[in-house]
Order: sequence, then structure tokens, then C-alpha cells
Amino acid sequence: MDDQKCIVIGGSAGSLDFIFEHLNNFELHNNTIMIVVLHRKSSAHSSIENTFRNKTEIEVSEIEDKEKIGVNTIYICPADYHLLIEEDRSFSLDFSERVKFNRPSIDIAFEEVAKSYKKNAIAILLSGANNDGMLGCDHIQKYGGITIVQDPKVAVVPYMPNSAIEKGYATHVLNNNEIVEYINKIK
Amino acid sequence: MFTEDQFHEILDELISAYGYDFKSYSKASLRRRVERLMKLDQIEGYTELIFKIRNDPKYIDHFINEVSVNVTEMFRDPSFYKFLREKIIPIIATNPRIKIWHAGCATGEEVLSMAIMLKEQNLLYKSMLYATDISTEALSNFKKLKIPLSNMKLYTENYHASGGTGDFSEYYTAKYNHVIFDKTLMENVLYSVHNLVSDGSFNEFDLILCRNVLIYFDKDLQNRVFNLFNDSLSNHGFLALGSRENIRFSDIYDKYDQLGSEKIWRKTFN
Repeated sequence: MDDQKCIVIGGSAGSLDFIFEHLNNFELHNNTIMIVVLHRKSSAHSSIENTFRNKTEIEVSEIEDKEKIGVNTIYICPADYHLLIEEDRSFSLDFSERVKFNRPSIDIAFEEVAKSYKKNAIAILLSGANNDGMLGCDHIQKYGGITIVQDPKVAVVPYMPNSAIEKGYATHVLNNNEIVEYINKIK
Repeated sequence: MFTEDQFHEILDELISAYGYDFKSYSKASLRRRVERLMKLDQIEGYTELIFKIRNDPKYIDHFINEVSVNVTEMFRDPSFYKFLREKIIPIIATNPRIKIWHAGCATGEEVLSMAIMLKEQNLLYKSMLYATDISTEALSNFKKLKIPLSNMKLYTENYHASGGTGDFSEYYTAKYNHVIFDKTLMENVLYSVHNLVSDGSFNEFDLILCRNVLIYFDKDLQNRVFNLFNDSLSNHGFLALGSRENIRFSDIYDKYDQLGSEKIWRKTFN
């Protein structure tokens, strides 16, 4: 498990467009996992898990508290909870105060992934109308991981990717197809 | 802000000075809470924090209140409340007395929601609601029944989405930037400080609600608390958890049946 890679995707307004368009092309190799942290409204019975399942062959799980991290799985952060990772690589959910008006906070999720996965962390920051995720990218880089930021020219709402790029927290700035290629090469 | 060893020293101090045992809390969240408190109180390092805990007797209440998460909402997850209203309350309504425990109620928004639903089914008069929390400050805030006006739009929407058909504004009076809820809703509420880590069972209940509290505990402590709930539930009693919590990994799992897709389980005879 020590060599497990973790791809964590953060996004807000406009980010689901990218995910739903490209999800069917995502591949996870070896024991890589993917965590998806989006700002979204909590709906009565969030069908987001099923929507994901219909678009990919990869195992999908909307996270439950204390769920153990497995392999080759896409984990979706539930709406309205912050996402934390315990030392034994299980998830903890947290319903504490919003951070910069957000819950889940992409900054928190990225920081937790950075601390747990260090150089095996790859963060992808997508479209959004606020600067959540910017500080998270800083954490990912400080712990030796890589940050991929969606090219603001192709992002539906460029504010979020721009915030990270302007601070110098983007290891790579890639367009949509390049992001997919990058994900699929991770081994 | 502090190393792993220093973190344990803080936890040891809380046990030896006050008997508060946080060692089985989720490490990931507790660290964040303590770091947040230190920033809030402008405490530079862990030695200063330990000094304050040890030497300022008033500080501990503040510490407990800030480290425990008191964020809560009225009718959070409306579909859950709809299920309670339509499927669970009619079952316990046949009891001569209805006893409900809100474990870890924080500032009581869920207790208020329950009281409103019971009142609307004309059951509040024969119900006893036990509202417990580890934080004295949270409970005393609850007793004021004072809620920021800015929350009321969401709460009103939640109330109606949960199947509430009344006029929600009849339950409160607006004053400046907050509202005060009707005191008569709380006539049958018993408030008490209770620590799920160290305190035992104190009554037998028809329904226990503990939503988004256990997420702050590690798996072992969760299991212990599930056993406490099991000891505190009547036969065929109901246990309600938060939307992403589960009794699946605990050793009481076999004795319970989940009802529908909500996180509500019923104790079965076994």
C-alpha cells in the first residue's frame, strides 16, 4: 500500500462538465485510487454515485465514515462533509464549520491527501468560481506531490484554476484531453 | 503546530486534570480542532496550551466547546425527517409514553425539529426528549432557543421538504437578526451534560438519534458507543445515525434491521 498513488480531483462550478464528459475514458492502474471532491448541492438521495457508475467500469464508492481505502476505486466525497484521512488510510467525515464558505473544502481534502500520500499524491484542480483548492495545491507540492491545473482557457469558470496558477502552485497546466492522458499514464 | 508526542501530552493532561478522554477520537479531526482552537485563542505552542488547561479552571469549558463540533441544522437531510415523520413516529406513537434520546445534540436544532414533528402529530404532550451533549456551553446556548435569522430560509425549506405542512413561522418570533423559538416546544425536554466516552446508560428509549457525532470518534470508540445505545434501547427501539454513518462494522449489527434507505435501524429480538 505504501506505493499506492492517489489522484484527488477538486472542482466547483463547471467541473462536473469535465468529469462527466471524460469519466468513461479514465483508467486506474496498479492500485491507484481517485478521490473526487466537488462543491455541489446535497440532494435528497444523491444519485451521483449511480451517475458515476453508469459512466465508468471502475469501482465507485460514495464515501462512508471510517471506510477503509481500497484499490482501483473512485471515491466520491459526500456533499456537505469535509473529507479527512486517518493514519491507517481510512476516511473520516467531518461536519465542522465551512471553510471559505465551502463544505467540503477542497483545501482540506488536498492537504489531507498531501499528508497521507506525499510524493504519491496527484491533485487535479478544475473549473470553479472561488479560490478553494489554491492552498491545497500548495500543500500537495510542499509534501512532494504533483498538481495539475485545468487550463483556464478551457475551464467553464476559470477563476479557480487561475488562482492556483497565479500563486505558482501548478506543476502542470493542461487542457482536458491532456489531463485524461496524464491520469491514464499514472502507474 | 505540535508533534505527535506533544499531541499525546495534551491529551494526557486533559485526562489527568479533568477526566476528559479524547484518546479514542478520530485523530485526523481532533488535531484540526485543537489547531483551530490554538489559532482562535492565539496560543503559540503546546506548552502554553497545557499551561492554560492546567492552571485556568475556566478554560476547560471553552476548550471542550470549541474542540467538539457544534455545527447542526434544523431538519438536516429532509428525506430523513420525512421518513421519521411518516414511518417511525406513527409506530412509537402507540406507546403510552414516548422516550427519545438526542445524543450529542450540540445546540439542539435537531431536538427542536423533533419537538415540532411530535407537536404536529399531537404527541408532544406524552413525549420525553433527553437532550445530552459533552459541552455545557452548547447546552446553555440551546436553552436560549435563539437562531440567526439568516438560517431560517434554509430551515423553512427543509421543514417543508420533510413533509411539514404547517406555517413554520408560527413556531418562532423574529427579533432583529435572530429568531426565538416557542418555549412551550421545550416543556418536555430534559437537558443534561453526558459524555459518550465515559458516561453510561441512564434510561431506556424508544428512539435514539445520534447524527454526525460518531464521525469524530475512532472505530473502537464507535463500537463502544453502539453498545451503549444497544443497552439504552427498548426492544424494537430505533437508532438513527447521520447519512454517511453505519453500524455495519460494529458488533451490534446482527441485532438490527435497517429500514428503507435511510440510516435508521430497528432493534430485533435475537
